[in-house]
Amino acid sequence: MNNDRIYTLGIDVGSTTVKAVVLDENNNVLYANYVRHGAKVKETSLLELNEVKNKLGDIKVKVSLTGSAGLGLSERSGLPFVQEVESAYIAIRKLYPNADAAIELGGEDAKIIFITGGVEERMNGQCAGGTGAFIDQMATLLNVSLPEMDALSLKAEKAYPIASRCGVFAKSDIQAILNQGASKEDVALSIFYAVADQTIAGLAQGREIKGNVLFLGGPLFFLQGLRKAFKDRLKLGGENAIFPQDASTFMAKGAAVYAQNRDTVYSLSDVIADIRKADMNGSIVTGRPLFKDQDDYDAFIKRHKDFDVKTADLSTYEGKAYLGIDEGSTTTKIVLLSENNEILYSHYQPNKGLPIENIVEQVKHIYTHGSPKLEIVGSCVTGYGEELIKNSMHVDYGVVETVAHFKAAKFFEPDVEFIIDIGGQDIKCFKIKNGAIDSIMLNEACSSGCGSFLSSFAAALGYDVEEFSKLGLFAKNPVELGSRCTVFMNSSVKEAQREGATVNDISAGLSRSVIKNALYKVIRVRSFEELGNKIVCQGGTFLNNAVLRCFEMEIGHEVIRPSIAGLMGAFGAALFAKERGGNHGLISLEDLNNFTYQTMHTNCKQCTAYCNLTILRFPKGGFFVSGNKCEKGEGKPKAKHDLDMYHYKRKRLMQRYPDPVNPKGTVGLPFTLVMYEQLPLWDAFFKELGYNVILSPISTRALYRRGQKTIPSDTACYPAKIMHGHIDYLLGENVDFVFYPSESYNINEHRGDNYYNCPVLAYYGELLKRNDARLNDDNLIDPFIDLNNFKKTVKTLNEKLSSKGISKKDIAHALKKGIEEEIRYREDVKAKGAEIIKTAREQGKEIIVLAGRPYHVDREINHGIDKLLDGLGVAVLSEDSLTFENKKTKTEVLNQWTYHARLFDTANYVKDQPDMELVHLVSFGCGVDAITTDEVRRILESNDRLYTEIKIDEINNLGAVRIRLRSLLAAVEDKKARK
Amino acid sequence: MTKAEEKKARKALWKKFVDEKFTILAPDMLPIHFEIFTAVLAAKGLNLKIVPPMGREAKDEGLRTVQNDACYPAIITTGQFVSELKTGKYDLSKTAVIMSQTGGGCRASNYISLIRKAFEKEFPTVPVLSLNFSGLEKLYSIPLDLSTSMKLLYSVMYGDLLMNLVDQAEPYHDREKVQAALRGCLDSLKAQAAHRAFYNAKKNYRMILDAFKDLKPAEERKPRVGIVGEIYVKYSPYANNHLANFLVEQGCEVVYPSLAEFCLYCLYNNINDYKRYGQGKKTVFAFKIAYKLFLRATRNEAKITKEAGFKAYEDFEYVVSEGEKVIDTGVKMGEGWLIPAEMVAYAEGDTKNIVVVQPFGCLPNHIVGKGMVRPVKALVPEANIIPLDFDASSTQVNQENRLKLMLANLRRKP
Repeated sequence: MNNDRIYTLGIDVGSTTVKAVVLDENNNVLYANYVRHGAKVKETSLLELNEVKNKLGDIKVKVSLTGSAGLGLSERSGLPFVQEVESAYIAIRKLYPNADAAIELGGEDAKIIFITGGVEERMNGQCAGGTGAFIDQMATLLNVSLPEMDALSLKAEKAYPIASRCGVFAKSDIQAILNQGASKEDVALSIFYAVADQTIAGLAQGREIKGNVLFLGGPLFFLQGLRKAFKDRLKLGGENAIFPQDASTFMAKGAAVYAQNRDTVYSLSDVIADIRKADMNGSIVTGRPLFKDQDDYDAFIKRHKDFDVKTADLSTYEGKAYLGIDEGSTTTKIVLLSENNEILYSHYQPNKGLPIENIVEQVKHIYTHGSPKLEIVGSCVTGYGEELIKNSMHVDYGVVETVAHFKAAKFFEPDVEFIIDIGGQDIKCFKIKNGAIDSIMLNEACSSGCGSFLSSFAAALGYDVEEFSKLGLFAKNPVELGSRCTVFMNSSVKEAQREGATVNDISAGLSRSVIKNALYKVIRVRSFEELGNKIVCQGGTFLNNAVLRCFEMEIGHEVIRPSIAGLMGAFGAALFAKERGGNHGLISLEDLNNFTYQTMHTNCKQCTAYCNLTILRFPKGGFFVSGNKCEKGEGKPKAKHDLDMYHYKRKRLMQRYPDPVNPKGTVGLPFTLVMYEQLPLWDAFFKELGYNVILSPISTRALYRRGQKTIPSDTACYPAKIMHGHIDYLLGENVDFVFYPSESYNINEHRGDNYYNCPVLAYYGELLKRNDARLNDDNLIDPFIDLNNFKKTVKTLNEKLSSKGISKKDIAHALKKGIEEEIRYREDVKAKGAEIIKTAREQGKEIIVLAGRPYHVDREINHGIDKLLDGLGVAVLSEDSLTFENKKTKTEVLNQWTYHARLFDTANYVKDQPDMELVHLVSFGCGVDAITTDEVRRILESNDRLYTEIKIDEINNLGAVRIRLRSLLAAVEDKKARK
Repeated sequence: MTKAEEKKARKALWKKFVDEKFTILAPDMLPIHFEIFTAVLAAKGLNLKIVPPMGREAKDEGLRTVQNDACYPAIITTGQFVSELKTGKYDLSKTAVIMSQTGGGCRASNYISLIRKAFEKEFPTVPVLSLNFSGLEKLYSIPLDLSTSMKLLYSVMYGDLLMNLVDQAEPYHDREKVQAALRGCLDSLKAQAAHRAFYNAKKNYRMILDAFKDLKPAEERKPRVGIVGEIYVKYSPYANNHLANFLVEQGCEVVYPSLAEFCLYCLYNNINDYKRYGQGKKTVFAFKIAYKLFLRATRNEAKITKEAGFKAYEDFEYVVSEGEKVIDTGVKMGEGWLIPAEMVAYAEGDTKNIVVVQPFGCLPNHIVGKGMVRPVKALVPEANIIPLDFDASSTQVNQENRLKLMLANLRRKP
């Protein structure tokens, strides 16, 4: 190399990789490379630079760093830095001057750059993070490599809708789809579409991506399926979608171009020396080490040895045996138990999305390897896949997970007070009081996947999970990584890396984060005394000694971890089968040998929800339907829903006011949020004024997607976000204007300290008007009114509607009519409530008060939970269908929202009704409910009652909800039986 | 309890705090203002102490003791209180904490109950007190007589002026010199806190401006970056990971809205509630007087500030009119219409770069923060706005990377 020439060097240090590019004066690439750093940021960067030096010699360079980890490296080495989106922009201007827009997906971040029509650069919000990392995790979930996943996606036949707002949510959705028996090919494609949707909806936010679009970053470079998904979604022709050959090192190239305008010239050895000098021991917060020394560790291991189970030999055991199966969301667990509670056979393995095939193989194995005198006299299945396995394998019993786990825990500690189970996807905790399950806590979507996060993270760094967690055992400074969710943890790891944390410290920190998530997010423990003294820890994740140790350290208490921690569900199921006695119906070896099944995908046409159905047909006539939200899809007789208040409300709201004779125009009402309560009022109001009223249709996910691109804040609740779709529909119907009132104050029901609405419900109209370019002050009327003040309301409505030629007198008259209709509606709801209670009591049925908000009646919002309950044979009431004669409920919180005052009243009422239980429906992201959940729980627990919270969002994973509700009913039954 | 009994009980309670020299811990929102408030209340015998700067551990305390779905400000202020009480520096039988309540329709009015829940087990004897003007927490709300209220009003004005001058001086002068000037002014104000001299606003404004007369910004201004958003995260350096310092280090001048503006916003909303919905007939008169008083004070301050050669805060009524371009002033929960109003006022003026900070998942900010970026940009296409979420589990690198993007945009544009 010529020693006088000055080259430019760009180094892009991202969340997972290091990229280096050297350019000459004419932007010719002399060196370009891409390597994973496995959390060793500084070391890998140095290796890479030495590589450059070996190839090109100690050349003179102008240099610039870029990338999220490059930021820290730059601060500490004093080398220049350019933000990564900016470096992409610089490179695009230089190398692709015709590009109109660019999309870049990295390991952690998604970015979009608009060029034509006003330069704008955007990055995803932190909640939507984890794009490349997300695809990695999904591949782990499907148990395939990235290239395999890519190949699968190209063979797909159909794509399923997947929640695209964040990786954790998408994962929950995918889990459900996999459990329904969807093919891996289809799932792979669905994942890529989800990534495309998330990027387009979340980043473009209504600005159209068109013209020549450049696609950058590793995932888009390597994955054909992902490219296809983006091209499809953006409707780009081949010539307009540009995938540069150097996409993976593009930002590094941009940094090199940027460096051209710097003044300082370094020799390559200077750069290397500066980076080597960089002091990476920054200000990370660290906790105590897990173990003092080897002795401390040995004592810990010895202590937990005490909880082993005896085993016996499958091939020689003679006598009765009991089969327990736990078909979890990600793993299959099997235990075969002898008459003396010895384990004859056990099995634990990821189901890889093929639950049936796994079980067939395992049961065959037991039949063929067991002694001829072994007789399986009872079988029982639990978990997500309970129905599927029960139907296909003719298993004797199905049992709710909580019951199975409780049985298993009692085996090890008869007086167990607290059980915590951390599996791959879910965290489940139960408190035991007086020998019965007293309260159940399950994680909601946001904190799910903590267990499997450990393994996918380990895999990303090139370790297996066991190896990875062992690294943490003797870490000196475990880092603090937060506990909100795995997406945030991922980003904390990135920060820790920037600060120079070692892999060991990160490993220990992650184990601790999993525990903190369980304790403070799922259990919401306030003092560890609540947990009691006899605690049993189970679930596959607890087999990890680092996690177990963190749990003991955090609560300051020793716990019991059975050696079969990962098999407890199956073990409990086997114990259950043994208790119930023989009823041998398990599929025979002969039938197994001939076992085949057919999979059929179809849409249910019984109602407008058009659920995606997956139907499995088994050889002996059995079949299994999944994907349906109600019993219709299963071909069962149509239920009457007599005792379902939600069903009644949906029907009652459709009893509309008579249409005007000579309509003077049409008004559109979006059927969401406040309209779920005030529809009778505004329907009558506008019809009295001589307008036709067009109501947007019942919500569906398809409707949601129609409006998705105009959503500015993706973390708002689903009921609000779905409103964008309703507006899109109404605009398509050519209404004269859309009406949605802005009500800071709800109706004053005199049950609280104030009577506010929540800010989102109150002001969503203002947001819509400013984020959907088609809306303006004329075609979206959102008057600020307080219905408690009739005169002022008339005045404001008159101001807003006078331009339409409506007089104040007419408004007053119409409003009066509307209010009458509203009162009638509410009276009807209360009357129906009383009727349901009466009928349910006559029939001796349990009553569940499904307490949420009026808009939770929307089937797309509640995902059919009321029907599910109806199907479980209980009566369903709503929070607004009860009549309270007692005084205001005394609360410990400021009781200042009308809808929430109803919740407190409901809790206060239910707590004294022995045949009623409360299930609290909470929309994900509802800030107000962060206050109410604890208070409703407190009120119920003050009289020793169960509290059940169900968080709902876009994700449609009814499987988890079903388990939750069945657990509740099982616990209630159990409690009753004891009395 | 009857009203008379309640009044009596409240009086007795607060007398006890004075007589027994209770330490009342307060959160750390606005370091300059709060130091002055502390002196004013000390003159009344109340011993307020602002929680000292803390590290990550206070956030973890908060996550441990507060429902994790609650908002970030609740989690970290509670965490700071718990950490501080745990140090053992305090006689727990003679310690209380205080928190503000606006009585508005967002969660913030419920911080008090969250703190109480957090204290239930560990610090059952520590009372949680309230600062509010909405008649909430009858017993535990701080009783303010007219003279103290007036002094607090002036404290807001002095604090605002000092904050404004520090923000204008720091990018251009030696940090120590700026801090020394600030310290001198604070000492002088604190010494006056018990006296009538404290009311002499003009004199004090002059004293402050005089202290900063050699610390004027350079002729050629650095790019100005406005920080708007949720009040606690916006102001508290602890909450926002020292955002202002970061921006100054990156070569920017930071522009903050005044606290007086937020006070005026609250008063404005109360008057508005009466006008629009007929609410608060009895109190509206007092609100109107307070509004006028406050508005006049801000105008006097602005005039003197400009005369001394510094930039002054925007006039409140101008800000209102700017806001009306994009949002209805009926949006009144949280910081409500004020956030978009500030954005427009900044963008149309010489502060084109704006960071909108909000706690992760903040309800009103879905509407008035992220929800209003688009209309503001439509109005002022060259505006460079980024929304930034803060959470106890979010990372600084993530935030800094986004800020760097904003800075890159800022440098590219002429």
